[in-house]
Amino acid sequence: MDRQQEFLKHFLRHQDDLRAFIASVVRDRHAREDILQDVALVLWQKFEQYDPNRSFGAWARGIATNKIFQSFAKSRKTPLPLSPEAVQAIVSACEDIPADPSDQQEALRRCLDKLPDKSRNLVRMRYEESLKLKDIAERVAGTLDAVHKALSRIRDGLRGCMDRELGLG
Amino acid sequence: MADRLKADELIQKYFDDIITEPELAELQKLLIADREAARLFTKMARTDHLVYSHFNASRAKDAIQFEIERAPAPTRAVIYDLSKIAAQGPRKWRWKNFVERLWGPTGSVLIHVVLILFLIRFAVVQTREKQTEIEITLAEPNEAKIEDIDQTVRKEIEQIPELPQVESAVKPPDVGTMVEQSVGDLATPGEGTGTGLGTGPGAGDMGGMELANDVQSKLVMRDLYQGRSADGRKDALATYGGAWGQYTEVAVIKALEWLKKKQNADGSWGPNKTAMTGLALLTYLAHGETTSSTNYGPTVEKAIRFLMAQQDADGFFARSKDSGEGGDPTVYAHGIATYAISEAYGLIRIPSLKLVLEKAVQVILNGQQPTGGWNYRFSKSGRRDTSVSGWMIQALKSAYIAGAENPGLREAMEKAVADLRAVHNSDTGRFGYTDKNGGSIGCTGIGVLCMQLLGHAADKEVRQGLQALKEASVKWDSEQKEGWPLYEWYYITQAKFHQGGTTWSNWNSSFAKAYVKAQNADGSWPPAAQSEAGIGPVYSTTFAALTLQVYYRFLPTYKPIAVQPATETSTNDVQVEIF
Repeated sequence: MDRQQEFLKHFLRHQDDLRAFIASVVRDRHAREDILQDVALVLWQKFEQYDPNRSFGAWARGIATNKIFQSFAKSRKTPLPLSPEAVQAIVSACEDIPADPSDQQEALRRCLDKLPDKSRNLVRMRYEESLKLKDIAERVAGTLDAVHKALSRIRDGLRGCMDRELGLG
Repeated sequence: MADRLKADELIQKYFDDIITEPELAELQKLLIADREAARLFTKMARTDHLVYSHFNASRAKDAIQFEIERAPAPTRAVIYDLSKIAAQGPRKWRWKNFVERLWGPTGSVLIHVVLILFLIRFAVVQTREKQTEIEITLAEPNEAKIEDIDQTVRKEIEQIPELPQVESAVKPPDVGTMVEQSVGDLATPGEGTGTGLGTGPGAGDMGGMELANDVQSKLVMRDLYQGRSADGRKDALATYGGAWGQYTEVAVIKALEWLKKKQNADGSWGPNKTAMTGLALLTYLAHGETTSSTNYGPTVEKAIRFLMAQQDADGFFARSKDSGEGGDPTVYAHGIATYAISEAYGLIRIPSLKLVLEKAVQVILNGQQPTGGWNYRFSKSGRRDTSVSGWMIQALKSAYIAGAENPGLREAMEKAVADLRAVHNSDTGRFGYTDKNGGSIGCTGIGVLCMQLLGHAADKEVRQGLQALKEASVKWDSEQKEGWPLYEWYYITQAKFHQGGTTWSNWNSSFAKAYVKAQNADGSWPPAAQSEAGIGPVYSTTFAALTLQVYYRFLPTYKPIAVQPATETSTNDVQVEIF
C-alpha cells in the first residue's frame, strides 16, 4: 500500500472523531472550518513522522491541539473558551472508538428514527437549522430551560441508543 | 457523585452554548480534576458532532467517500484559481506541497474530487466572476512529462465545455408548431379550465385539489448529490424504504422505461405538453438521470430542450390567452416547468439553464400577490389559491437551492409563509383552498409540505396539519368519481416523509405497497379515481413515480431555508474540503 492510500485509510477512519474533538473545543463554526482544513494539511505533511505503532487518532488529536492553540494565539479577538489545561484534559480523555464510522452514522440514523416527532423537531432546529436555544424556545413557545432539558435528554438518549446499536455498552 | 452530576449538567449547557462564564470556569476545573468528567465530555462531543454532521453532511465529504469507495481509475486534475492563490502567498506554497505529494492513484482520487467540487462551484461563479483564471494541473500517477500533461489538460478542457454545448444546441425546433400544439392542448379542456389534462392546467377548475396534477417535490441540491447517485439511492432506499424499498425501485425503473417510449419526437410528453414534460423531466431528475446518463441521457436532454424552447421573451413557459376568471392551466404549467428547469440546473449546472431559470423565477416573483399568495394568470388581486401557490413555492425553493440569484427571492418565500398561515384553520388543523374555510386533506398536504420546505417544519400549523393528515389513506378506487387522489397522496407522502419518525413509518408501511400493486404491467399507472382518468397516463404515471421516489428525492436531511445557497458561499478559491 503506498503512502497516500495508507494516509487516507487512517484519515477516513478517524476523521469523525477528530472533527468531534475539534468541534467540541472550537465552538465558533467559521473558525472551526478553517482549523479543520489546516489540520488536514498538516497531518498529511507530517505523515512521514507518524509512528504506525501508535494510535493515529491520538497522534492526529495532538497535532490538532497544537494547531488550535496556534490559531487562537494569533487572533485574540475570539479567545478559546477553554484554558489550555482543560483542552489537554479533554485530549487525554479521548479514546478511539472501535466502531467503523459508517456504522456509527448508520446507528445514529436508526436512533434518530426512533425519536418521537416532537423531539425530532427540536433536534432539527438545533442541529439542522443551527438555531440558538432562545430562538427555539420562541418558536415552540416554551422556555429556554425546557428546551435545554429536552435537548439534554435527547442527546443522552441518542448516546445510549447508539452504544446499544453498536454493541458498545 | 455530586460532582459527576454537576459535570453532566455543565457539559450539556456547554454544548447548547448557554453556559455562563462562572459555570465555564467550574466546568474546566472539573475536567482537569476528574478524568471521568473529561471522558463524559468527549462522549458528548462525539454525539453532538455526529448529530450535527448527520444534518449537515458536507457535499465534499460525501463526494470524497463516494469516490474512494468506487476507486475510479486515476484521474488527474486539479484546478485552482491562479489569481486567488497569487494573492495568498502562504496558501500557494501549501497547496503546491499538498498537491505534489498527492501523486499516485489515491491522490488522484482526491484531486478528482477537487475537480468535481470546483466544477460545481465554478459553474455557479462563472457568470459573476468573469476574470477568474483557471489553471489545470495534471497529476499523473508517475512523473508525467510536461507534454503529456499538456495533452491531457487539453483533453480535459475539451471535455469540460461539453456541458454548455447543450445550450447552443438548443435550437427551437419547431417553435411555431410546438406553441400551436400546446396552446391547442390547453384549449381543449372544456370550459375554461379544462379538463385538461394536464397538470395543472386542466385542473384549473377542479376544486381545490384539482390541479393536482402537478408534480411535486422539491428537493434540495445538497441532497441531490447524496440521494441521486446510484449508491446514494440504494442507501436511502435501504434506510427509509422499509420492506418495500426494493420493489419501489423496480417500479420506478419500469415507469422510466415506459415514459421513454412515450416521449414525442420533439422531446415532449402530452397532453398539455409543457406541464407533462415538466413532470416527466422531474421524474427522471429525481432518479438522478441527467443529460449524461447511459440509459436516459438523450431523453432528459430532449425534454430540457423542449422546455427551454417554450419560454417566451418575458420568461413564461406557458401563458394564458384569456383574461377571464376561470381556471388557468398555464399558471401550473409555468410552475411545473420552472421547477423542473431548476432541478435540471441544480444537477447539470449548464450556465444557460440558469438564465432560463432566473427569467422564469422572475415571472413567479412578479406575479406574487402582496399578501404572499398566487392566483390564476398570476393575477395580483382576487382569490389566492393554495394549489397554485404550492407549485410556485416548490419552484422558488428549488431555484433558491440551485443558486438562482433573483433579488427578492428569499423575501418572496417568507411572504408565502404568511399567506399559507392565513389559510390554516386551527379548529380542524387543515389548510384551505382559497381561504381558511372548508379545508381539505389535499390542501393540507400542500400547506404542510410547503411550510416544511420554507423552513417552518416545527410551526404550529404544520404540527396540526400533520395531525389532520392522519386520516389520509391510499386506495385505488375505480368507482370513485371525484377528487385527485394521486395529487393529494403525492403531497401527503412527502409531508410525512419530511416529518419522519412514526408519522413516516406508519404511512410508509401502507402507501408503497399500494403503489407497487397498482402499477400496470407496462410500467404506467392507472388513475386512482375516475376523475383522474381524463388527464391521461403520463399524469398518473409521473405522479405515482414521483411519489415513490420520495425515499431518495427528499432525504430527511433536506436543508431548510436557513441554508445559504451554493452561490453565496462560493469563492474564487477552490478549497479542498477534506473533512
